[in-house]
Amino acid sequence: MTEKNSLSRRTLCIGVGATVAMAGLGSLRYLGSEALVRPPGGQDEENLVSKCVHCYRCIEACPEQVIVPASIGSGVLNMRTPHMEFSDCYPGQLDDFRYCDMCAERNGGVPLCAEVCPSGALALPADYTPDSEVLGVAVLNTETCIAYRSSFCAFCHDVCIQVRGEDKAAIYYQNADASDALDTRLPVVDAAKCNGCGACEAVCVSAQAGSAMNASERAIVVKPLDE
Amino acid sequence: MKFKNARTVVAVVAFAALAVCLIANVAAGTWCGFGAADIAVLCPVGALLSMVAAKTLIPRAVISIVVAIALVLLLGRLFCGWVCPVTLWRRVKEFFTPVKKLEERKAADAKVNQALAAEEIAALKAAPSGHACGACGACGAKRNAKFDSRHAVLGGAVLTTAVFGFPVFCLVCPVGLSFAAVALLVGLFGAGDLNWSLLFVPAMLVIELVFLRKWCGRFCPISAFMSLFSRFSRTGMPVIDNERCLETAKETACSRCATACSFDVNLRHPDLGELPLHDCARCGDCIDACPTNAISFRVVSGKPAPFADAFASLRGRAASKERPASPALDDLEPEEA
Ligand code: SF4
Ligand code: SF4
Ligand code: SF4
Ligand code: SF4
Ligand code: SF4
Repeated sequence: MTEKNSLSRRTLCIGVGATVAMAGLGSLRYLGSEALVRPPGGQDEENLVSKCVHCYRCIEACPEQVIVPASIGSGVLNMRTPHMEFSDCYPGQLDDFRYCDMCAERNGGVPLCAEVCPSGALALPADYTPDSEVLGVAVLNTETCIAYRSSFCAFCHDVCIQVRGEDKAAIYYQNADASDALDTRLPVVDAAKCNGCGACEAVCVSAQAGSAMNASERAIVVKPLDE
Repeated sequence: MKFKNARTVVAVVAFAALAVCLIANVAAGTWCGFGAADIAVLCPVGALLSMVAAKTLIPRAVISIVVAIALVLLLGRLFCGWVCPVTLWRRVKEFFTPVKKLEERKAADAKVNQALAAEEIAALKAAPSGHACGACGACGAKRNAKFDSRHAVLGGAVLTTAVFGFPVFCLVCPVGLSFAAVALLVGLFGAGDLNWSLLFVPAMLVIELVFLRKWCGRFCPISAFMSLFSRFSRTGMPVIDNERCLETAKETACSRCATACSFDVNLRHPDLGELPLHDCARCGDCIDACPTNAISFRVVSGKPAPFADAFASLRGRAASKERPASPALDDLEPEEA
């Protein structure tokens, strides 16, 4: 009989202990979590964090390798969920950078990440088109942007035209008309046209060129929409 | 090759293959969600938790659970014995435990198991033939239960997931974290990515697999899930040939199969294992340990018989024949492979 008692006592201790530990971990979600740029179909945060089983298939499927798992540092809710990372590219390589083209090149505009996601965490809206999906918006930091600080720089402006085409390009020069002088041209993001593809961030040369200014990130970075 | 080595190789190859896919960007997934192209199944616990978290039915999650149940009905906890990366962590832990300590532990286990076996054999020998075991109680208490602490942990996982709206257990699942560790290394060496997960993931793995005694048998909700259905499995189990087993044929307390079992199952005396027989992971360690080679896997193994029945089946014969003295156990060590 004693054996039986110790068995159920252990069951109770472990069951309660583990549940309390998991509740403790779960409640850390109220500490808040960093807003992250998600892969296509992952824009509904609630849907993504509840359904994602952290299988990493989306990460593996991305031909551009721009999806990475989030660290626990960005919140327990985010840990191991997929988010977009465009700053891993070596800066200034206009012919060798990685960004999200909604898999236009590799899969006819159907995002492979959302296609392989087995849990429905990445779910494209019913009316999805490669042009309608918006991952986030590029935000330009005039404190660190080279064009604003010192000399003319055209990387983000040019790459945006390169990947989006003249019509849809989202970066324009603020005072292109005011002066012919190149080094007064200041890039500005038109948030209404930007889809957060990340090409600008991938090529931005600021953090490297300006290491003296202690920039923690590149001067143009894609941010989630609701930030 | 011994089963233990064979299954270590299988688990290493499986883990390495998925790790390579992660590095080489092949969308095979991990054990959390595994597949090729658009055919994929989810880990049944992950599938359950994500439906609880999202408070909706997810078709693929339901299918995954059904597939998992079907596999468990066929092969029980085979995943634990042959595939789960935690099996590998356990081998690593074993590797770093001093040999002396391992031997001491084994010896202590063997002593306990033999004593239990001797007790049951003695009680059965003393009992009049045709006696009802359930009513007697001389054999000591059953040492396992239909539901145990693992099921409580599974319940806790479902509860916390429902409350907090995301699959909380997945954060600490050692299977998922094993793959998280690979991804962290890829990030670290690929992009120089330093982050808090580099501390959290190894710390969690160490807590669960080093400090918590017996994660697999006492905590793991995946094993809890599997054991809910493996109890109905009648296939692929190791079965003892009672004609050859020392305990039934020679009435000698041996129980080496119980001591060898990596999953705390007692094949000879199912009621006396820390876990019930249906938690058998088809690992084969008992087969390797049996001094008379009495154990083998059977495709259709049928309903496991309690020791009393196995013992009774040979008893009549034992009484009629004049038996030789029990052989000394040391003469019967299985040959080293
Ligand atoms: S749509 Fe394609 S390129 Fe964009 S993140 Fe998904 S897999 Fe990568
Ligand atoms: S494929 Fe889906 S479930 Fe798997 S990690 Fe990506 S978002 Fe999560
Ligand atoms: S993220 Fe926006 S601004 Fe940057 S290149 Fe893409 S569309 Fe242009
Ligand atoms: S009990 Fe859990 S952790 Fe242990 S081998 Fe089985 S699935 Fe893996
Ligand atoms: S009973 Fe035998 S095959 Fe089953 S888990 Fe134990 S040692 Fe392995």
